[in-house]
Amino acid sequence: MRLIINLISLIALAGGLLFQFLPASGTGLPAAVSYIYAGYLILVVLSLPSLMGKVLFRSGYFGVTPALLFLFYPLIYIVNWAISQFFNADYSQIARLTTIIITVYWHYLLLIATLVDKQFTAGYKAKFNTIKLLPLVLIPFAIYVLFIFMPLRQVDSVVALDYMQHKAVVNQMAVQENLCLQPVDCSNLFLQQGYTTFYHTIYAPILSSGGLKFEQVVYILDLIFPLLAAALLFKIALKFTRKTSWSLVASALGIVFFIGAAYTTQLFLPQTLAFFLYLHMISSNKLSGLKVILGSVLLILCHFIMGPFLAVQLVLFYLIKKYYQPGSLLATFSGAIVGIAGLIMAFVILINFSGFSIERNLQTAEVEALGTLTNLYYPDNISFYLMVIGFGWLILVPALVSALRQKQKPAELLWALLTIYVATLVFFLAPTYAAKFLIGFGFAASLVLVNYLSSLKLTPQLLTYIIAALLVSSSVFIAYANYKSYLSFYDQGNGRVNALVERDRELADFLSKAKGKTDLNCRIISDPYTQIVVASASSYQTAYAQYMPVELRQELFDLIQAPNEGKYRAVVGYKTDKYTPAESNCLLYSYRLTGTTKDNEFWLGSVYNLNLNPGETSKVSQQDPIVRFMRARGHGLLFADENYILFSATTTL
Amino acid sequence: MLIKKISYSIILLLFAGLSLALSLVYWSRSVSYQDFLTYFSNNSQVIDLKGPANYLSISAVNDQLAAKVGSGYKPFEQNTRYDEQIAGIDFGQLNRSYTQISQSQALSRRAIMTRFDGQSIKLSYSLRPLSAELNDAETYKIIIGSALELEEIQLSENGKRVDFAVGPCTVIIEPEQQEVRFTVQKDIPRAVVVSTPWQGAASGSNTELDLIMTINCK
Repeated sequence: MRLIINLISLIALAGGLLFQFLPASGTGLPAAVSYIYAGYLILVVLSLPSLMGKVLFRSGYFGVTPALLFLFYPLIYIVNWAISQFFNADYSQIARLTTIIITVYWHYLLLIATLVDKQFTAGYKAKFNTIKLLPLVLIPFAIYVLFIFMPLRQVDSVVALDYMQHKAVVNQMAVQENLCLQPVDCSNLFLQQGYTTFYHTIYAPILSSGGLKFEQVVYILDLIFPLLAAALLFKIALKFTRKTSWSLVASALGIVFFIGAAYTTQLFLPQTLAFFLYLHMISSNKLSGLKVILGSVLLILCHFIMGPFLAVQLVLFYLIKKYYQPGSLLATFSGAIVGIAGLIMAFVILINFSGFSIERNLQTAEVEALGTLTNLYYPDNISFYLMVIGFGWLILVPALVSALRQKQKPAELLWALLTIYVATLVFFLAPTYAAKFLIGFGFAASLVLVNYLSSLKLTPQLLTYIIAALLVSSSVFIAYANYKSYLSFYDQGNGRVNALVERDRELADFLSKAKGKTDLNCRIISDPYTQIVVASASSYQTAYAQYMPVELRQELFDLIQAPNEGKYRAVVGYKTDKYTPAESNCLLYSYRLTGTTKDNEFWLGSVYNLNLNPGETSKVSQQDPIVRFMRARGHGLLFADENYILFSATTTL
Repeated sequence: MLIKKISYSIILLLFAGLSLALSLVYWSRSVSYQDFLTYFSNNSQVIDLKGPANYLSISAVNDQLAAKVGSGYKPFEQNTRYDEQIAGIDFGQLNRSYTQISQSQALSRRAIMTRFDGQSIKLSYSLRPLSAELNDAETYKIIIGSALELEEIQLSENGKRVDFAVGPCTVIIEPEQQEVRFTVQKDIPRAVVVSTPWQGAASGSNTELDLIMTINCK
């Protein structure tokens, strides 16, 4: 067993290193090799802390220690940054070298793990051997891939602007002289301070492979991340069902549920990373007070809103685990606690129906900053909430009742009940982006369902499996519909469902190689969607990218429609409290600007409105008024095709 | 005991079966028949469900209020990142419709989708000035957009109901306060301008104008 694992590991390492040293393009290898490598690299990055925990700290593969060891990545970033500053070296080259070192280190740790971990040796025959059981997680994963991911996701699709936004931060971290501890320190793409760059230090090595395209990595990341989450959920379920089959059912249910705005495991974002680390902590066998404190700090570093939210639940889980035993004070008063909690829930839901929400009543400043309310309100919030698990409620309701009546409740089951309760309560209290707080709902519901079904001793037992299968099938259909609804926002109107538009590729390639090679040393101003394309493809600064101020959008649009000197100066000299004009600005005339008509000028109206693809017929022309105007001003053309014309900042007049 | 177990099993089986059946119905409403075929033919393309380009765009001149109703996906027309929270509501028989409302800035204007039944949809707007200083009339533009032909606009003034037809739909706007005045801006084709004098706003910013828009489609 050990020999086979290490042989495979050696071959993977050789392949991985070979791929790392291949040039970014023209590798001549089949596309499948790129995808395999992307999956391999993502697995290496996201599982390295587990191996470090096992080998260096003798912990489990899942738990608080591996979660804390994710801090290895920010440490690497700081070291790399210091080296690049001290030796005046190219940060991106150092980062790439680091990825290679991480890969080698991972294989080294795996080798050691096979030698020191009893699960690979004596304990292999044990019933609940994690190593032996983990491959089974491929079953729920296969359900997710076959019925959700493959039918819905187009190959190489990027279905979250967030990936581009966070890549822009990674790009800036590589070129900025300052240490970038928060995204706002090095990027102007963030309206609020929502997190540190902890997430970005993990995202960076995933993106820093030589031979892979951004969209390939993200596409595979959306595939691998649910697999790892499925493994965690499997382990948590195994702790109280003690049955492999039921834990697999829980795992399958947990990863298929799609909750809009929360994206529990479907997308790799700061909030989902926080949840992933939180699951690590919940699955821990040896939770201590110190670990809970350190874990809470980590969660907060990961996400300033979801972090504290999950940290509170972690503390509650710890307290339950420590103090809840049959006959304990907590158990004696559990009936009263449930009653009071139920009353609070009823009160919150009723005031929500009558129009109260934290967002509307207490967060006016935030709403003003965002320019929009972010939540659904009665009755639409009810349908949204119910469709999270869809018609699975038919079983979940009796399952919840049964769980509450259950005399001996394992801590994990209590955690699941608590998660459902807290998520529901916060959703109906409705602070901004309330749907995000449903992040653990699907996972918790799956545990409660499985607890219920596995506790029934029906005749025959096969029947319960049939019921579970029906439940999984129904969840797949609901999740499919929910995921599809989400994807409509990336529908380009030409059959493609992707945040990346093919027409942008040439410009993106040009800009990604342009830094330092041309006289293009300026901030690039264009329509907001084009700006996020620019920011994610290169290290050029933009005018707030997708969050370009509404007034500036209008100024720019007016300039394109009927250019004159006053309007030009209004655009390059635009200033707000937050926005300071750069000394040097390059105007980028885009097909999105020329394709804007009365029918699709919506992107001018709000900071959240963007124009993904105005239509295939919109093209820029060198005869357009803005081009003639800019030429008359003496601006050279740095890039020109039928989609874009990029003007130089300096004039030759 | 055995009978109890069996009956319990049957009830659960029915529940699980019902869950699957209802999920199938829900799923089939979200995908077309072509999608269904695609789904089982391993074609990973998501079918573009864009139907007739019927949609109604309602936006405010002051960039505060916007709503779109229609059939066919119109991605990125509104709140890009959080749309899924406010979109995806069926528009009666045009059940591939795309409906969403961009909420207003500064809580001063709210756009709340109340209800639709079958072929009609009702939108309620509460509009109030941003601050007490805004005494002047604010102007809201309701744009009837895209491929829909505006066949007729009937207007009345001083708080009375406004009816007009847009393609197969009749649009009714009912103001709930007497101060409201509707006017037509004739130089903007296919647009209705709702001009609101905001009487009494100087004493506070709580004066609200409630508009109820009902859209009935044939």
